[in-house]
Amino acid sequence: MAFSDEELIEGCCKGERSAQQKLYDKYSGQMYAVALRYSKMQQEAEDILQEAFLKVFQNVKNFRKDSSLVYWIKRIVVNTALNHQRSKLYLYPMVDVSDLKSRFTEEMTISNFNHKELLELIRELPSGCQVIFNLYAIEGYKHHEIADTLNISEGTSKSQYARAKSLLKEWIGKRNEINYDRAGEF
Amino acid sequence: MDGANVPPPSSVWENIDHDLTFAELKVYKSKTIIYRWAVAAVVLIAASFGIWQYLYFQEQMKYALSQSIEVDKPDPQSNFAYRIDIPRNRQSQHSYSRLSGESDATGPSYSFSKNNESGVATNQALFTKVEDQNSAALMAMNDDTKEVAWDTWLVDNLKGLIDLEDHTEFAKPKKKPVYHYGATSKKEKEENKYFAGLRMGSGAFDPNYQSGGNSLLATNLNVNPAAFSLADNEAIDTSSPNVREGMQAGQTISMGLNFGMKLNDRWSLQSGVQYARADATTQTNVVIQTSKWQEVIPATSQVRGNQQLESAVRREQIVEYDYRDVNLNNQFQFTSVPVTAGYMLIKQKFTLELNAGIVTNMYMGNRLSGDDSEIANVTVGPGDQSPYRQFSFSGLAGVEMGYRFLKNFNFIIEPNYRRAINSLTKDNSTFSSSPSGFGVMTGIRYNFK
Repeated sequence: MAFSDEELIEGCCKGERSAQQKLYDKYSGQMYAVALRYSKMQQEAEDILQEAFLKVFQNVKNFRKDSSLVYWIKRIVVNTALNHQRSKLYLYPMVDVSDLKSRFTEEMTISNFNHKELLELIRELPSGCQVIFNLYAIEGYKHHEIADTLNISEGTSKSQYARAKSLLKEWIGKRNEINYDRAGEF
Repeated sequence: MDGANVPPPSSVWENIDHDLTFAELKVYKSKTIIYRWAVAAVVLIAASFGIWQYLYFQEQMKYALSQSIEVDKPDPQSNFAYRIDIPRNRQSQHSYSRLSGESDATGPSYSFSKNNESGVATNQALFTKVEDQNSAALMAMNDDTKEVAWDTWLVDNLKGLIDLEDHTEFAKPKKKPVYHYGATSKKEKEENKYFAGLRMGSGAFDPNYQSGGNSLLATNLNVNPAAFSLADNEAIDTSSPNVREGMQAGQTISMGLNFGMKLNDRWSLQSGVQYARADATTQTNVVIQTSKWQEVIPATSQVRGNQQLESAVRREQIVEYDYRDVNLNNQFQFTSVPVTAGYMLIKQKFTLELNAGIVTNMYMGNRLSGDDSEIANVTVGPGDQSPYRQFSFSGLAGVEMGYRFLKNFNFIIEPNYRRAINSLTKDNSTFSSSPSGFGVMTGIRYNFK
C-alpha cells in the first residue's frame, strides 16, 4: 500500500518508526544515488545518506510545504555531502574558462551511457571538480551560489567546472572509442 | 540523473534506526532525571513542611505563664487576683493578727493588725481586704496607704482564722507548685470563625415514585376526547391494557459552594448553593404516535399533562396508541440550598462533626429520552403546567469528617442521607415522587476569621 507524502510526514512528526521507515524506503534509492555522486567511496556515501536521513527525521516538523518533499530531502543530502567534502576539497586556482581547450570538437555522445556508468565517471572526478560539477550541472546551482556555499571565488567555481567537463569528455570519448572498436569486432 | 535510483545497503537503515532509538532514550533519560529531581524536591518540601507544622503547632500548645509579678513585692497599685505562691516560712517578715471577721454585701473582709517583732499588735485594722481565697495565701490591702500585706498561710493556719464552713465562697486552699497557672494564664487560641469551600458529591437517587392511575382513558390523559379522530371508545376503552408505569432508582451527582460560621466552640451553621442532577429510569408501556410525527411520544404521567403536547395532539388528524414497553432515561436537574447545623465531636487535626438540616430544592427541569431514536425526547420544565413543584424540601443528615492539611485548609468527606419532606410533585398531579437516598460529599474548605 503506497502512502502519500502527507501521510508519511504526519507519521514522522509523531515519531512513528513505521512512517520513518516507509519514508526511507521510498526515497533512499534516489538519495543514495545523489550521495554516491558526491563521494568517492561507497562507505562515505552510506555515511552521507545515514546522516542526511537523521537530519530529515529530526527536522521534518519544520518542513514547509512550499516545495516538494523529495526536493527538500535532496537538499539535505547535498548539504550533508558538502559538509563531508569541505575538508577534502582541493581546488585548482582560478583558470579562465576560455583557455581550456576540449580534446574533442564534436559533441560528446553520452547516449550510450546509462546513469550508472555516468555515476561511475562522476565519482572518478577529483573531489573539488566532482562537487562543483554536481552542484552546477546536476543540481542546477549558479556559479555565484556555489561560490557562496563553498566559500570560494566564482572564478574558481567556473574553472573547476570546466575541468570536470574536460575530464568527463575525455573519459567518455575513450569509452566511446572502445565501444566503436568493439562494435567493429562484430 | 534525477531518476537514478541505487538501493543502499540494509546496514544504513539499521544504523539510522539505532541512532533514532538512542536519541529517544536520551530524551527519556533527561526527562527521567528531571522527574527524579522533582520528586526529590516534593518529598523534601513535604518533609520540611511536616516538620515545620509539627513544631509550629507544638509551640502553639504551650501555655502562657501567668502574668508576671514580683513575688516579693506585689504591685501595690493593683487589685489583681493573680497570685504567685512561693514556699516561704510560716512567719513572714511581718506578722499579722486577725482581729475580726465579718461579711457584707461585698463579701467577707477581715481585719488584721500588724505586729512588731515581738508579735505584739501595734496597729489595728490596717488591712481589711482578703484577696484570693483559692490559694494558701492571704493578701490584704490597706485602702488608704495601698500597702499590701502578703503572707503565706497554710491550711491549718487558715482554719484557725477563718471558719471555712461558714464561708463557702472560700475554696479549699490548695498547695500550689512554685508557679501556678492562673485562671486567665492559659491563652485562648484564636480560631477561625468562618469557612467556605467547594463540594461535590454523588449518591443514590430513589424517586419513590407512585403512579396515580393505571387506566389509559382519555380523561386520564387530560386531553379533550374530541381531539382524537378515532372515537375514544374505539381507540381507548376499558378493555385497553392498563398502563404500567414506574420509575426506577438511579444516581445523583452534585457540586457547588459551601460556607458557614462557627457559633461557638462546638456548634456551627452551614449553607451553600449546589447544582444537582439526578438520574432515574421511567418505564411505560404506552406511546402516542401520529401520521405526521416521525417519533413516538411516551405517554407517561409526566408527559400527559404537558400543554404543548396536548395542543400538538389536538391538531393531529390521526392519533394512535401503541402498547409497547419503553424505558426512558429520566434526568432531573435541581438547584439546592442546604441549611444545616453541625455539632463538633472531635476537634483536632482530624475533625468529626454531626450535621443535620433542611435542603430547599428548586426544580429546573426533567428530560426524558429514550435509547431508541424513534422515541421522542421530552423535557418537562417548571411552571404552571408542570406536574412538579417549583420548590420542594428535603431533610439532610450526615457525618462530616475533616482533615486539616494546611493551616487554614480542611479536606472534607461527608456521607449523608437525604429524604424529601414533601413530594416533588404538585397536589393535583396524577403521580407523586418523594426522593430519598444516601450519598457522599467531598470537598475542600478554607477557614478564615
